[in-house]
Amino acid sequence: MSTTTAQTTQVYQVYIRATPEEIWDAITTPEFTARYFHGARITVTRDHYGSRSPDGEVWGDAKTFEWDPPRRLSHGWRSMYDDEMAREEESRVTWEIEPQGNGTTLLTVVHDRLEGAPKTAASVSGRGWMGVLSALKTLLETGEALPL
Amino acid sequence: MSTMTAQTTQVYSIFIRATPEQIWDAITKPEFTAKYFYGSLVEITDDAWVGRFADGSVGVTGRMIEHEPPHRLVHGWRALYDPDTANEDESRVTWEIEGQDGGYSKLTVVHDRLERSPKTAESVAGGWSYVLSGLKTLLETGRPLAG
Repeated sequence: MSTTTAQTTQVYQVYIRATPEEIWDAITTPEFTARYFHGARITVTRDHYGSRSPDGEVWGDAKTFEWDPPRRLSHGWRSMYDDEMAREEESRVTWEIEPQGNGTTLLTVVHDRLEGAPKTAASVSGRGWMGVLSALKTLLETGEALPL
Repeated sequence: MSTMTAQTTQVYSIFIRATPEQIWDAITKPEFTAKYFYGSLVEITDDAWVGRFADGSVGVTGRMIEHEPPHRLVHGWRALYDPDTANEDESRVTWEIEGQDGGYSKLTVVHDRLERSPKTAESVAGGWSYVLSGLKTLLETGRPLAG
């Protein structure tokens, strides 16, 4: 959002030509996330959010707070792929999926509770979330990865 | 951005599998903008940026401030489509296009100087994400986002 100071509540939106179910699968299953989320293999269940690197290192390990397929998902976030960020406090990521009635769906990502994680806030604000959401949109609409 | 109060500097970015030249054409030529910019036909001249609806009426207009194809376009923004926003001060829109390694580009839209245009700020807060999403779909698939 802001190019100067990273905000402690960040909101990103993208419209995708896909159904809510397709988006839900793409954000909760590792075969999909590996193709648009910096190679991360992410598995989300009703209770747990887990992310692993292509080599199997733990990149994310948190609780699932809300689980309402295919509309709403909220989970904890610690950037365990970086030592400094891994020591910061846990923040929260919420995905909202809203069909628009014309074959498109609005996906909103809110990354908040970042007060105790300033390095994480800066890291996810630049290329971070918009890179991920851009690549997710390309994958769902064209079947191809965006080489970010 | 914020869902509560519209900000006076709004920043939106998106990554598109396209060259800067393709994005420049898509944001400055009416045959492209008609397919993703709420149907608006955008025309730019040395002096102005004008967005017309299909019936020819002017929806948005502003002064041309910077014009550096294919990387940077800066223009004023007065939203004439609504009497409330039409009476507010002109705000400013900056388009920045940065080619990236790997055959794609980063497009950033900054809509600022909205301090004296609160209704405009609120009106565009949801709109830019829709416009940029539609632009990306058009360039990557050759089709409009909806329909």
